[in-house]
Amino acid sequence: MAITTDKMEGTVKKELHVFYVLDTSGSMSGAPIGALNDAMRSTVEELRKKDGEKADLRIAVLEYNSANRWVTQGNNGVENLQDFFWTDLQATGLTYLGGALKELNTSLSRNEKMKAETGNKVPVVIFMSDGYPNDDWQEGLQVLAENKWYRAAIKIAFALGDQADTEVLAKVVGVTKQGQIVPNYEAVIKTNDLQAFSNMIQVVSVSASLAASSSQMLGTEVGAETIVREAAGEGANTDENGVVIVDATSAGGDIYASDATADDLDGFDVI
Amino acid sequence: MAKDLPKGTRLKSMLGIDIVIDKKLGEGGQGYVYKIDYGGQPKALKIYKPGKMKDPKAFYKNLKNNVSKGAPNASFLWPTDMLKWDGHTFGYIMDLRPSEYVELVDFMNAKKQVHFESFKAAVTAALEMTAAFRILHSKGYSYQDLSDGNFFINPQTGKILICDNDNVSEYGQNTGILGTPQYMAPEIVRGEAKPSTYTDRFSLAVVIFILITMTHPLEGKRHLCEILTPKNEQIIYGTDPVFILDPTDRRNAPVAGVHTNIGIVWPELPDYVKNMFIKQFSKEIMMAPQRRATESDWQNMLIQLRSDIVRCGSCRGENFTHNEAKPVCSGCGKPLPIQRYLKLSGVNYKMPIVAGNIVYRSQLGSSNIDVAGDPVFVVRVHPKDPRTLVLQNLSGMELRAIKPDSSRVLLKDKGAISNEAGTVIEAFGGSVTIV
Repeated sequence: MAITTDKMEGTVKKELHVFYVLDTSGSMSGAPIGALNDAMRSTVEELRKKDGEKADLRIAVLEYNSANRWVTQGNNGVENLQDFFWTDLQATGLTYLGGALKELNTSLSRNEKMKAETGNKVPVVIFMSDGYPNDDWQEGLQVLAENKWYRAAIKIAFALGDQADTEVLAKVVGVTKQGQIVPNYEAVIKTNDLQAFSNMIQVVSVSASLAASSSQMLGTEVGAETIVREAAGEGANTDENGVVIVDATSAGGDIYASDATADDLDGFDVI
Repeated sequence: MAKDLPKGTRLKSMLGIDIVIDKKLGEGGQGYVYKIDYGGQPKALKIYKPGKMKDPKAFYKNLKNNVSKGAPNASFLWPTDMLKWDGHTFGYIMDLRPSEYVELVDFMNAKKQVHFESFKAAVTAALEMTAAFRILHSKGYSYQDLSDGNFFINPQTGKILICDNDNVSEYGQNTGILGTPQYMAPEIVRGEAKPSTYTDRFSLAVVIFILITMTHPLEGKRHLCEILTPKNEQIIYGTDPVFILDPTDRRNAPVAGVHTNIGIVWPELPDYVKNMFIKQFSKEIMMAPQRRATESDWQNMLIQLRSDIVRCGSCRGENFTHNEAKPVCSGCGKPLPIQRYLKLSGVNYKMPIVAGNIVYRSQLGSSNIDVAGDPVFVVRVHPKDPRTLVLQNLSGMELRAIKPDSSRVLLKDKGAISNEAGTVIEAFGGSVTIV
């Protein structure tokens, strides 16, 4: 048959699911929930720009407070980015993290959310919390640590504000490929600045979803720690455990946040 | 809040040219690209993010060397000047990419729907890439990170522009880059080698295959695995790569209903093309870097393929012809608009005289690397008679021709000659005969 190029489709892409597990308990009321909604709306836009490039991106959002609920209502609770738009979440209730972890475990299964016909790329799971869980989160984590998808996933957590428990989050994202729970502080980003949070969650979401497909450098492993380190930028502060602390000026991994002053540009022969 | 170099920021380049920042064009993992005014000329400026490279001073030195050596040929958006190292970072200046040029990744993205105007344009892109790499390698450089994201293509013409030339290094040097997954040679994926000319050749073969078939050569059935873990990637791209059309090892065969592109293109390809892909993506050759086809081998194959593609004048479908006696369109059955053929002194096949076909220097006999991919003639529609095709001289010089009645004529540069059987044109020590 004679052929024409308009019959050609894109190359076959696997699906890459980006999960968000978001704390919408009462303590998030006011500016924090406003900032979260705004950040997620921008994040969806950023992910949409990369959709189809290296993978067909899918988004699944689980909010938890005194209960938990999949915000994304598409096929199996997973949304195609082309037709998903963010609807604002409300803050109310307690912080039942354990319940959310169990729900996540149920969903991370070939019969639930991982049904891709072309198979999946390693999923990305991003957590955000501003507090301490009010339920038996350890039991939930034990269950989740048995899940092979979760073991393989790139896992990153945001600790918002001083009340956020970085140790709990480090354990949640610290499930190894073998299923051990080893706190991974380097995959936790702590910030008090809502704008910095907004910037970072966008950068981290995009770079985590592209991590396995981007140019690779000698001696640099693809993983949550690298993604966090690169997003925070050179010279980002850490606490005594290694949690990356992001403030207003180091947000977004943009080095010009603090450098774009005349003094620092001297080396460029400013005239 | 993120801040950028604001519009109007004034800088001075290493070569002393005044720079004014216009606007940010993009941001990648490594740095930012700005549109600038460069001494009155619009140009692009890339500035690196500090802390992203292992050894910035060595990288800087390498870049400076590339600037002073100059672009290998016009297909490279080469660094032409720099922003000096300021203790934190540095940058380089290059030409702007014209807006009609698109990244390969956008052709491969079903959500963007960019298509080549024709398979002839797709093959032209592969050919241009090959010619550019041949020249780059002949100058002792390797590119090191060829992927779907670092060159741009004009979908109408197949012309290309290669960017990200900051990792280009001289023989034996490496800036710390390993390459991009899906495009890295198996020995790099296995952690046994660093990028080199040989690994460039593997990446080039992958890019050529994708340009023509819109299918990754190693992504068949096995790529549809439940989850593509780093371990599975090691197997598919590193320790046990299997070509999607390996005739003996069917473990990675295309899957009906999923790998549709390859099902459309592969059956149409001439045998010499299929055989070359099958050989180059055989386990034997993939695992033996030194035995991989050179750019010259790919160039010869692609030049022949380009000339064998003939568009039907009736249904507009493209046919991959191969010197059939009475070629008809495989789609609609109408005769193909091949008026005559060209016999070329450097090759053993005939080229159909159809609009858009090009005679390249290497088809006339042995030639220097720098000029092997230069067009000598193009077949064009007669300016006054759209039913007739003529041969236009693109050689840059006057050529001697002998008409069928044995009269001798001079064919000026850019001048054209009618396609009468028996005409012979002499060029670069070889000849073109219309038959």
